[in-house]
Amino acid sequence: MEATWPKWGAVALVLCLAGCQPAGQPKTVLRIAVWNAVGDDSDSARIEREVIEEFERLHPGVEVQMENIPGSQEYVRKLLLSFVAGAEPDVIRLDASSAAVFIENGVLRDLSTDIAGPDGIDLDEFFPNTVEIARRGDAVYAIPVDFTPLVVYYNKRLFDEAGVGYPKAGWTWAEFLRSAKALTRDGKFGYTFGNWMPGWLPWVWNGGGDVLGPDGRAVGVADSPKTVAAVDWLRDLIVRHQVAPSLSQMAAEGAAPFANAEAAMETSGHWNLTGLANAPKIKLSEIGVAPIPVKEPGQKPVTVIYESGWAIGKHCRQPRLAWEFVKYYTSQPVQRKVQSSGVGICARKDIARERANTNLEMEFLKIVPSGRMPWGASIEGYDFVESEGQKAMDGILKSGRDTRSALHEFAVRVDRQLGKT
Amino acid sequence: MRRALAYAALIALAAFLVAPFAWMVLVSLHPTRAPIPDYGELIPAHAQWQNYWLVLTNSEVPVARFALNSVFVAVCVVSGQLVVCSLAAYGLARIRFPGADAVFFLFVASMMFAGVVTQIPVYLLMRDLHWLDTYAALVVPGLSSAFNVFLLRQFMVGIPRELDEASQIDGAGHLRIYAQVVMPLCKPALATAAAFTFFAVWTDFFWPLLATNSMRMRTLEVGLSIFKNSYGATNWPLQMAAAVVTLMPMVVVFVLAQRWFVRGIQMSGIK
Repeated sequence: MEATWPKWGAVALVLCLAGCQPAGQPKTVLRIAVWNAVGDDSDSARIEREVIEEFERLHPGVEVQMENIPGSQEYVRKLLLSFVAGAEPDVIRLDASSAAVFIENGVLRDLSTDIAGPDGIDLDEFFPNTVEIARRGDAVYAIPVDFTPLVVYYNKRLFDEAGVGYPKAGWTWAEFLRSAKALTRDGKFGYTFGNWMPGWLPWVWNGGGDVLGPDGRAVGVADSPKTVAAVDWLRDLIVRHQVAPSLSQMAAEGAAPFANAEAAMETSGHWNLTGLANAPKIKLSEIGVAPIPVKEPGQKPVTVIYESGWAIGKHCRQPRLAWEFVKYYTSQPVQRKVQSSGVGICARKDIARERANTNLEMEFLKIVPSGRMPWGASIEGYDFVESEGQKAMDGILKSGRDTRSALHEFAVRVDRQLGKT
Repeated sequence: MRRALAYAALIALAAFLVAPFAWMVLVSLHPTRAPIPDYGELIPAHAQWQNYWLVLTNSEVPVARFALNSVFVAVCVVSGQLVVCSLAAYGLARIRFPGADAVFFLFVASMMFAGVVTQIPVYLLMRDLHWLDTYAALVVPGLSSAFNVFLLRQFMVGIPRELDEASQIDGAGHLRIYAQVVMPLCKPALATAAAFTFFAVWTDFFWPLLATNSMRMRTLEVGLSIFKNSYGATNWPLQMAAAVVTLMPMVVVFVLAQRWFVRGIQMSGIK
């Protein structure tokens, strides 16, 4: 028997060491972290690639390295660790849902000096509620790129078949329920409710409830009578009125009920349109959007704004180049190109209005002023609230738990986790 | 009759376990961008085999490169671990030295720490060595495994010491005894360790995600997640094709190394 193992070990080590050599990069590399798609066969990927190539062409000697980090939680974890280690990318895409983690930990550069400088940006060109997401006093930590309010999508064909009038601005829960009942026929549902907390929390807001108070405390807010009543009302859509499939029915079906024209309404954002454009059982012309209904007539509606923008690391080694990229990417001509993919609404008012050339897009813009930032933009650790909120809702919907006690336990857990007890 | 019932139960169980994989393959053969099909429409009218070609040749998400990275890292880590762990196991099992038991105890105790506990210090170490986003960061931290040292040491303890003594009389040193006497007898344990390590490395997600930044350094597991983001809910067929591509090497290795898995579970459980 020959002594083969040490030989193989040596071969492996040589291979390892061969792989240790960093690739020689004579160019200045601008590292940019994103979580979104750059690699599919969609228009957005192609446009993104063209825009980046154009930036490289305008900046000879610069190579843009897009670092695609999959998954929202992994994105935050990896970036935080890289910031701690001083190995962070130069520019990061900052999601409103997790903006607080980065802003409150002081890892981002205050862009106010760049904005006000000779090579600056006029923030008045952007929707104010998108700019506010990353603003702390006079400091601005990100330039918004695109966003969406959450809205109620409806299938006009199913409404017509059921003889139900389309939703209008200012519609109420009672009108919504009446429509949903009339639309629940022939094996189809009026509404589809997924236990996705970002999607159901705006309904709670419109019922006068919330999960956190202004001081960030959950007890007394998440278990308040208004929140309990709102969650009860949502639960009854499935349990009592049966106008939406149960969570287990949804899981068993697997397919998306609204996209398959098996449900007449759902709550979602602008991104939903890119998927619906390819859905075989519904046409874009059959889709309408409306604000999330309010509990009482005359009440001011509210929804959430999910936004993303560009931020620069506080200790960025090439802040000037990073700022040039941010300015380039958020400029009018580039945004005209980028937003043509239609995933979100452009945070620039001019481009957003330019693109609102259909009734559908116009309806979205009408809803924008009622948008408020998500809790994750101001509360660090809000991902815990969302995961616990979904567990509480699961308990209520699947196990028939009493809403008040389930929400109280949820509120106590949240306060303990956020250090508010 | 009893046997027939047993077979029927086993066939039903096998069908239950195979169903998700069959679903995955069938969905991957639907036209790109098609939504998740209903059960009645699961079998595509015209199988779109080109989905696999599309996935493997995508210039933006280079799955072929991911696969190459995964294979390279898996080969290096598995072969490296077999050398490093078997040397450590040999020392602990065959050489009498003061504190041998204490060292072994420390190895076993280290198995109680979850991997995530060490990830931050290891990440900082990789940064200081300028190894982030290189193969070294993917390979070197995985070159040792307390579990495999434990597994191999337990196996080596069972090999008669008389073989060592006879070799020593013939003039063999420790390296020769290790390489030419003990290692050939450890093949079952080495195969088991290799199979377990391969699965662990192939399916590792978080460390490759932390340690690499650029697309060219991603492994399949991380690359598949980019696909999930990239193709999203609107392009299930391509996503499922990517999942099948990722899964296939594991299925092949599992089929080839099935008996070593069983033996490994027996060895680590009984001894």
